[in-house]
Amino acid sequence: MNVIETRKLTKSYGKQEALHGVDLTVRQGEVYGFIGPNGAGKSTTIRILLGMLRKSGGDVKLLGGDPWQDAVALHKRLAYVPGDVNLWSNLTGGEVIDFLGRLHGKINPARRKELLDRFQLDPKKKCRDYSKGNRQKVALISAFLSDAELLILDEPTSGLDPLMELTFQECIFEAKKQGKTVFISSHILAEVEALCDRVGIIRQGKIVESGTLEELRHLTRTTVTVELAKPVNLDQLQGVHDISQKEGKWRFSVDANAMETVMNALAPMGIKSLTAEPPTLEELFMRHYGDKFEGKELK
Amino acid sequence: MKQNHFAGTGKLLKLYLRRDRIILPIWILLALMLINGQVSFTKAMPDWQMFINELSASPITSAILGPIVPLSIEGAILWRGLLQAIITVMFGASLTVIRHTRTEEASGRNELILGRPVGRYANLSAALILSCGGSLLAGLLTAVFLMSNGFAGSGSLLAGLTLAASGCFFAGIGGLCSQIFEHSGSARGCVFGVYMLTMVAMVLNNIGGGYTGWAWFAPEAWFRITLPFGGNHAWKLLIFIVLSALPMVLSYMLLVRRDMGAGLIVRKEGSADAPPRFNSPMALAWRQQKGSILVWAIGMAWLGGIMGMGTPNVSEAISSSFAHMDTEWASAIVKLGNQEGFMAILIYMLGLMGGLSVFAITVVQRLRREEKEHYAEMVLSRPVSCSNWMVSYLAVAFAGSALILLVLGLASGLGWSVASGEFSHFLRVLGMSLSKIPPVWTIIGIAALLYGWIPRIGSILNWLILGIFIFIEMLWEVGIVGWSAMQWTYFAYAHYSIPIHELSIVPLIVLTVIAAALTWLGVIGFKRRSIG
Repeated sequence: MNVIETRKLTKSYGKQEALHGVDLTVRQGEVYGFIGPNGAGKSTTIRILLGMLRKSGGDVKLLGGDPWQDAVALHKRLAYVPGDVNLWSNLTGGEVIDFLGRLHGKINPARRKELLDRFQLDPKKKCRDYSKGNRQKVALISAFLSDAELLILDEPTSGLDPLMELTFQECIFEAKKQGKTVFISSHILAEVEALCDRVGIIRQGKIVESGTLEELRHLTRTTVTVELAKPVNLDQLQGVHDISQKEGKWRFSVDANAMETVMNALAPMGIKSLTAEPPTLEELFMRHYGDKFEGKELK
Repeated sequence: MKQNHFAGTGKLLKLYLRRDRIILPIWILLALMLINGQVSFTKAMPDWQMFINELSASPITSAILGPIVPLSIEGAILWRGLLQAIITVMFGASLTVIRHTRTEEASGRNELILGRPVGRYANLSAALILSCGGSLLAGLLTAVFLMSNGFAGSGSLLAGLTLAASGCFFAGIGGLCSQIFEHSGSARGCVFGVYMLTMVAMVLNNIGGGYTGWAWFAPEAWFRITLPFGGNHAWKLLIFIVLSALPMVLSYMLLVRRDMGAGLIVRKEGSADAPPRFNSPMALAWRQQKGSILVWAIGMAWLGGIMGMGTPNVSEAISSSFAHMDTEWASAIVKLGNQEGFMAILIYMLGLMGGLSVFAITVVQRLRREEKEHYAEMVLSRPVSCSNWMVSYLAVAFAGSALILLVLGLASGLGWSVASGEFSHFLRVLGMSLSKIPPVWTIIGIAALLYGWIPRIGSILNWLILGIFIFIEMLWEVGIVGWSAMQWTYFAYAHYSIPIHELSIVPLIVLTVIAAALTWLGVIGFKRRSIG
């Protein structure tokens, strides 16, 4: 079953179009990474999924319901962490966690204490005295405390230190073990790479790529660095690009489907050393964003 | 090395001027417009001479706004126009200082500045220079404006400088409040509290005849000390300058004794757990509003109590000329009697026109703030419907305004009863206050409707509607428009000019129904629109 499904979802503010047809499919039990730079439409999409913004067109289904019509019923089954956590300045962190938890139902005090310890949050401080990272922790604890089946997290780790980032990742893995679905929007690619089963890349209000990391990697070239005993003419090989030679080592990128022929051609040349690096998510991402002028040329 | 503490003041002043290029002209021009309004208002009256004679003969108006001194067209302009202009400048100056000191500090933007070669005093100094400069500019423009209307140069200049002095004093108060409180909201509340104290001093001065020592405690009444166009006591401006310097010097002394970002009031830790009943949007709305409801209730109890105690000092004598004034307003006052009329006007101003209307509008605007600051998002992403969230806030607004009016009625009724030894007043005064509940609820209803459908411009429209209604009220008081125009406003149905035992209950019920209907429409609008 698909937990989130959008088809040709659009949203415009007056003449300005924020989303130009977003197609998203998030399956039950998976951790989905929604990546894109600032202003690409991540938060707009999420707010439509939460029934806070009205869509302008297209279809959107969340947990089998309509996010605008069935907001209250659906929100019982999900927990949300906004990208920019603002909290009531006169309440303490503990009070906010209790209050938000009670809107959902009962709070498990043992779990509450465990999460406060793990995230090292002082619940007695007033929210106005929290740093950005600590406000983020309040929202995260409150989300992990609920037994919602779907977690929607909008750039959840902004402001967290590396230790807390690890705690956060543990919590996500736990949620996944419990069969929960997690939807994370982020622009921290290392985090998405570590956590997510599948990713979708959004650019200028449109999904430009989606699939598992393996599938996405398959679309791009692997970078190979090789030191050979015999001289070789790499230019003649099909599917090899960006060839350079430095300190006796060849460096080039290979199309995924040409890997076998290239390796066969290299093997008799006396390989002294060889490294093959799969494309990082960053490289995948840059493929869509790297060239700023590309977009303009298309128009 | 004292000099170094002020390093960078000029550059900061430039920045503040740039930041205030819209707001600074607004408060300066608003002061001028208020004076201009009173000038054209007075001149437009066919018989202003008679009008001011009669007003100054009325013990009620003397008690509230003070006697007209001197008894001339200039005096009539000072009496209300300069008073309003001074109050505007007092707020403009003090809020400007807070805006550039405590607000900047609380937001952390100040760190960007203090990390540069900028002196410790530069920020406060630049803010004070800006506010005092603005006040002085407003004063000089006032003087020029008055002169251009053909009034005496010396009196015009003195009136303008008195206005400037009041502004400078409150700039200092703004600086002082900024040192004491850690959050700009509390600092603004502190300024407002000081202002309320000065208002009490002003009314006590007026009840006492207009020349008592209380006037020194009320900068808005300082023109009753310098007496422009009358005694022209220009030398007293020197005392005002010394008085204004006091809070400023105190601010500098406190500034070096505290840490950046901290106030003088120690911050407390709160509770690690929420009380069990803190579990619904209604509980949140109450938690967020109860502080302001409490402050309003205490303020109203204090003002109402003191004014109630002062009521027996209002003379019951009615001059024969006043009794013959042929406006609806004058005949209504004659019918009520002076003490009853004083109390009725007081309850009307505090409980509806000036006080509770502001409470009602600001409390509904809190919804907008919660939405803009993304607090609403935190609640609405939980299983809470839009209507539940909005209705919770409005319910607290409805209940809170009724509570404040109850307190106002109790305090002023008791004050008058105790001071006069006549307990028959108590229930009448309570009735006057409670009769303001339906119109105040109507204001909340209108604000809810505007918030639900047009949140962006809703808040401006709210104030505009209130302003227009107050304007109609003023036109009616001087007899320019009739009662039929007043009936378009919610003011008319619990108006002070109607004796409380003659007030009809049916329109009040209708107003309550209208308030409910407007609220309902507002909630429908809110449910249909996007959040944020």
